[in-house]
Parts: sequence; C-alpha cells; structure tokens
Amino acid sequence: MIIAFINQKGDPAPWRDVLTEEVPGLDFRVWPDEVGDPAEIDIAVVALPPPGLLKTFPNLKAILSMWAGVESMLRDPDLPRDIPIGRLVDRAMTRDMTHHVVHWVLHYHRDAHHYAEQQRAGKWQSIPYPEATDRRVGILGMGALGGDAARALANLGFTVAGWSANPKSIDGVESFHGTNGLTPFLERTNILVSLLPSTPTTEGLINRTTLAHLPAGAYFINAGRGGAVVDDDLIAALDSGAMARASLDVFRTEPLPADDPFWRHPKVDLTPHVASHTTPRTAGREVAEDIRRVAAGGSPRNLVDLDRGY
Amino acid sequence: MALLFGGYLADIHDPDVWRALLRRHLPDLDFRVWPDGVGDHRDIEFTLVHDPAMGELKRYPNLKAIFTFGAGIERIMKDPEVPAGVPVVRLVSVDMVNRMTEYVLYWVLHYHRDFHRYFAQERQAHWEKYRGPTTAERRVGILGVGELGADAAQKLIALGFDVAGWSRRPKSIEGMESFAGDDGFLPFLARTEILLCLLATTPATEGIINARTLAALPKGAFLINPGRGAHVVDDDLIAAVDSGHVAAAALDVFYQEPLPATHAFWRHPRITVTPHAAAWHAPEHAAEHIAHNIRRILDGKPPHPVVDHAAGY
Repeated sequence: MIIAFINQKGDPAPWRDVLTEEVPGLDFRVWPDEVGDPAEIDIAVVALPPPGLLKTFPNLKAILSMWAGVESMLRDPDLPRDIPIGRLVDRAMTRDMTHHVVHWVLHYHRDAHHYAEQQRAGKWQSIPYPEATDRRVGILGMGALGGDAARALANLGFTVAGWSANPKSIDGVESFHGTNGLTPFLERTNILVSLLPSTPTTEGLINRTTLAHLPAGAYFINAGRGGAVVDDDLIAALDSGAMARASLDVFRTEPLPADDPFWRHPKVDLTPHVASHTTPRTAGREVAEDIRRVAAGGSPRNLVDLDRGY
Repeated sequence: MALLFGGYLADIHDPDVWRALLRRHLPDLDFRVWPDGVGDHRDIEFTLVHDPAMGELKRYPNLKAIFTFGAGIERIMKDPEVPAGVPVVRLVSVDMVNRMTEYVLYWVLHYHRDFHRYFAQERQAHWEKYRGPTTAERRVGILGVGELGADAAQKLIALGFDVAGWSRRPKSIEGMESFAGDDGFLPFLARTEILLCLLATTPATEGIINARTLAALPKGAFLINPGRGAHVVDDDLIAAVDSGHVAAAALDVFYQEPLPATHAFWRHPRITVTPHAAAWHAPEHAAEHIAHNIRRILDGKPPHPVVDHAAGY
C-alpha cells in the first residue's frame, strides 16, 4: 500500500510513526515532496486537501479524512465522486466531545457563572437549582458524537432528547426528527446543544425563528460547527434576555477575529475550538484500520454520503 | 412519638418546613422545637439536630435515634456524654449524592480540559489551544471513599479517567486502584494529578491537606475540596498555589463559614470559592429518609446509615 499524506498544517512525523507501526510495509509519502508518481498512490490520507488536488491521483482506492468534519473537502468541485471517502470516528475524540458537552451542561446547571461573579463581589450565597431530572437537555445532531453525549448526560440523571434528520433509538433519550420534529424539540429544551455538522441544510439552522421556540432563559452550547448559527440572531436573543447564556467553541471564522463581538459579550463563554481534536496516537489507529480494510479489498467504515454532506 | 428539632441555623433549617415535610410521611409525629417547645424530656424519642451543645443529648432518657445534618456529626462525636447505644443516623439521600457527584465531575472536567486557562484567555480575546493528557492518562485521586467518594469514583471511571482512592481500610470498586492507611498515603499522592477530598472530619483527618501533603503531589496538580474545610491548612495551600506547585484549587468548604471577607481565598486568581453549595439536603428528600428510618426503628429494625463511633464517621 502506498499512501499520500496530505496535511498542510500538521506535522507528519507522529502519523508516520503510528501508521507504519500499525500497517507493516506501508509506503508513507508526504505530499508534496515525497509523492513521486501520482499514479502509484493507493490511498490519500487528508486534512484540508487543496481543491483540485485529489483528482490528480488516477488510481486512488479510497480517501481517508484525518478529521471528523469533511465539509471543506466536499466543497472541492473536482473531488472524485466515485471513490469511497472515510470520515474519522475516533472513540477518544468522541469522549473528548462528550466531556466538553457534560462540562458546559454542568456549568449552567450548577450556576458556575453566577458563583464566579459572586466570588468577584465577595458574596457568600447559595443559589437554589433543580435536580438534574428537571433539566431538559436537547441535542441537535445525533450521530456518533450526539449519541455518546446523550447517553452520558442521561446517565447523570438529566432528561435528554435528541433531534436528527432521521429517528434514532437510544435508551432513555427521546427522539425527535425532521422538519416537523424541530419545533416541539426546541419547545421542551432548557439547554440546547448543537453538534450539527456543516452542510447546506444545517447552514443557519439556529436563527431568530428557531431560537424563539426555546423556553425563556434557555442555554445554548455549540460544539458542532459555527455555520449552523446566525451570529447576530444569537446575540439578539442573549441581549434581549430571552436566552440566558451561550458557550461557543466553533465559529464561522477561526481563529475568531479579535474584534468579533462574541469575545466581549458578557453572556458568551468562549473556547478556541477545543471540544475535540485529532490526536495521531488514537486517530492513527482508526485510520490504520481503514487502510487495512481498503488493502484487503474492502471499504472504509464511516463512509461519507456525498449527497447528505457528511 | 415525639421528635425534637434543633434548628440552630434557622435560616437554613426552617422548623415549619421540616414539620410539614415530616408530617407528610408521619402524620402522627409530635414535632417539638428546641429550646422553647421541648416539654417533658422523657417524651423525646428522636432528635433532628444541627451542631447541638455538648451534653445536651444526654438529657433525653428515652432517645431511640439521633438524626443529624452533615455538619453536626463532628460535635456529636466529640461529646463524651452522648448516650451510648443510641444510633446516630446520617442524612444520606440519592439526591444528595448526585449533587455532590455533579460538583466533582464539573471541577475534574474543568481542570482536565484547561477551562480555567480558557476563561482567563477569553478576557484577553486570546485564541490558544492546550493539549493536556488524554482522559485515560489523567490520574484522579479521591481522599475518602464512602458513599460520596464511591459514587464519584464510579462516574469518573465511566467517563474514562484513571481513578484511585485512599481510605483508612482498602475499598473494592471496580476499575479503581485502592490505597489505604498511612503506608498508602504518599504513594497515592505521588500518582495523583487531580486530588479530590471527600473525607469526613475526624481528629485524624484535620489538617490532612498541608504543606507536606501538597508537596507529595506532582507539580501542577489540582485540588478540589467539597469535603470539610478543617482538612485544609489554608496558608499551606496558598503557598503551594503561589509557587505553582499546585496549579489551581476549587474550594467549597472552609474552616470558618461564611468565609470571612478578608480571607485571601476570595481574591486569589487560581482559587475558586463556592459557598458550601456542592451538595445539600433537599428537605423533601431528607424528610423521606428520616421518616423511613423512624418507621424502621419502630418496627424494631436498625436505622441506616449510622455513624461508627469508633471511626468517628
């Protein structure tokens, strides 16, 4: 097997270590310097490949993404459409995402932001709060990440529902789906979590109209993609007091520009896209497993549906 | 059947609220409030007390059980005149355990994932990512593995952390490494990056988190204390945080509560103060627990859980 490693930002060394250890005999070539004859490349292992690049490898058997999100790659008009594309699903990344979500749900559930303000004011005052079962958490996007976060939150006693394009069955998690399910899902949700990927159908899904269906004083946690949110509509809902607070990890432009109003908004808690990240040590094993499958004539496990966009 | 209510901290424990809640479960309960409503001392079979005065409890000859709010246990245990053989029943409810575990998970995740640094960065509009150890590599250590410690350990293990516990005697919890006794203490600290204190206060544990203990932790460790304020030597903790040996601390309990306005903890940039709010007894759940135990005692069964007089908790 000959692979081309295409990642303009990341260091190839840890990937080379883990992939060559996991797949003996692997010929690991870093694009652009080591590629050699493009016709020899069997598999492209990619993160943010430049548009038009992938079509230059005439004998590709598969494209494997080092990232969970593939939206930027799918915008390549020259992307070969007949080659299977595998998306990274890494349990360590899933776990990281779940921890990020659980942290923020607990943060709002237990009024950590109020206590921080009280400490600055030197004020000693307990704030009553409901039992977890009386907090209704709603997760937008119920793929591998959403399902894992939903189970973890349900395990802590929260009342959890999920919304996705198609119905999902998870023990103890109420399922809403499709356009008709969105409004009732929002109406029952105190803490809204978006794990939506960026696709044409999720673009701007969280906007003035959808936010207005949330009950008064709701919280919003976005760890999916920035494109799902209409920023000005979210800020308006926070400013009016209709919504209590928002935790944002993803943005339309990253790094978030220094003059973006989110930075200094008193009701926005901001993190620099850290909910989940690719670690070569764990992700490399997942990519290696797909390389072995392709070498044996099979397909990657988590196939991207080009029409669905993820 | 008379119960004496000693709501010394009336702002927290309103007798009218407790009377109504307990009568919901025990309609015949004769609910008396100390000190004016005691009546004939011989009538009193149960007490529900918060930090009773020394010697007070021996004045009730027909006492069948002493129910106590958490903070009262230490005083009762130090009182040489507490009638022998009368069980001291602790307030434990699933609800209270859940609330404590929420607090613990929040702070472990907070430090594990560098949120304390991101919060500081946000104020400067600074975008920088940190990559610490993975969850499986992150070593959490729990001092005190009773009901609260055991639940926290199980939930932390379920989230994927590397969890150890230290207690007087070894404890068996699936997936948790158990350290015990004096010999186990330093090895437990040496492997612990996030130290969580859920000990009960006894003479043996007072000041257990001191300069020597903190120095035994690896550099950059975190402390989370929702147990009892008397466990921590405040000045030693401040020195350890100032030196950077301890990266940050979340404290919910203090030697003196409310924490005095002049205390250095309030304004320390790497110490978080919450007002003894990690867990509390929702009165409706606690009343159910008390009523359940009163019925058990009247049926001739032992109450649960009772304080072990020898161990002091």
